[in-house]
Amino acid sequence: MLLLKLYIIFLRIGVGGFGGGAGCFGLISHELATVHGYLTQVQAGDLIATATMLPGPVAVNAAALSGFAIAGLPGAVAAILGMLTPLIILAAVAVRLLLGPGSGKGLVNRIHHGLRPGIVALVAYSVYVLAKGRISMPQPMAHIGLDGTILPYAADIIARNGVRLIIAAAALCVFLWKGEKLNPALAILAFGAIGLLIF
Amino acid sequence: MSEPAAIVSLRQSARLRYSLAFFATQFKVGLLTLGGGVAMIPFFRREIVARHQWATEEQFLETLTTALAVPGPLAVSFSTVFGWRTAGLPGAIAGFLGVVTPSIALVAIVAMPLQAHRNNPLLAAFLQGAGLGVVGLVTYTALLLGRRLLSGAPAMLLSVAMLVAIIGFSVHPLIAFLCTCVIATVFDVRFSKN
Repeated sequence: MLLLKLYIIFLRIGVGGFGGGAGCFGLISHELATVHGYLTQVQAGDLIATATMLPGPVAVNAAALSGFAIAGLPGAVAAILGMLTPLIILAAVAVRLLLGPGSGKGLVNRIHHGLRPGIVALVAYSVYVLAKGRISMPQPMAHIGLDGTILPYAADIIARNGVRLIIAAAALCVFLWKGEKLNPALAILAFGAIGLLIF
Repeated sequence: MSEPAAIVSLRQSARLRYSLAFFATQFKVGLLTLGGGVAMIPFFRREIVARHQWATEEQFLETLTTALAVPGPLAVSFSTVFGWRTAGLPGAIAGFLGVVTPSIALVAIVAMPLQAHRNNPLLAAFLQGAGLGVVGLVTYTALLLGRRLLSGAPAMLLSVAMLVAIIGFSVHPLIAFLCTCVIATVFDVRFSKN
């Protein structure tokens, strides 16, 4: 029963999993921590960080690790199958429709363009979810509602999370600086090592 | 326009033998490449185009574009689409399993000790650092995608509106995503320069 439920949860994640691993993170954490409570937000964040450091597609690793954490090896298989069922079906459809004779290039283009704003927002949502697990954020309404400015709110977040904010910001700067020349898995391993030194 | 020679000849000759070879290359890349789907694509290209010559450069890019229209991890959708295209169902299964099997095997090895030592302070410190690194990495990805994919004001507004709906109004992310895609596709605003 738990396996079937896992399969269905990951089926949902798979349907929305455009934009690769980064787009899936927010959905995985939302479903497993916020909606179903199988994991805490920090646990989900730890599993996602581990998935990033393993070889292979990161989203598959994240699905397998969280499935494993909830229901062992069968859970990992159920999660992967759920996440990839829409992919298998749609891959067959895509090959027929888009690569066969008389294929509609116009249709591909239109779908591609239509997906874009949603993909960017999904990845941005992943940032929010992952940061929320690591960086404690007070309720924004308590601060913003009264005087209409977000400055005290920002100051409050910085006061609570000094070192952690600096590390996340440093990571962002390193990626902005090195761009795609930097292998993400190795960089994340290095930040894990920094974590060992600091925390 | 018929399919170029490289792919037609594969259809007629041994599909199964090809599928096995395809499985082996995808397995190898999946097992050895750190850095996720995007990092794996250049290695696929080296194996498929340069080494085995299963497809031309153009066919490779065409397959990649198609894979981008399929939800899920890019490496898996690419392998599955390429397998379908070259050898039908056996090829798709070979491509799919080739990329996914190493992940399951590695996770089975890593997950057990990870759970056993969950409360170890050293592991917690390591994962705290790595997790903060991932926050930076995903922020970078979001900025990069935003710059590449969104060029007009309508597209940006739509993205921001979706984010506000999810975070501020607790709309389920998937529902918000589907609504955003429908709106963007129906109105077909030119979202990008290309």
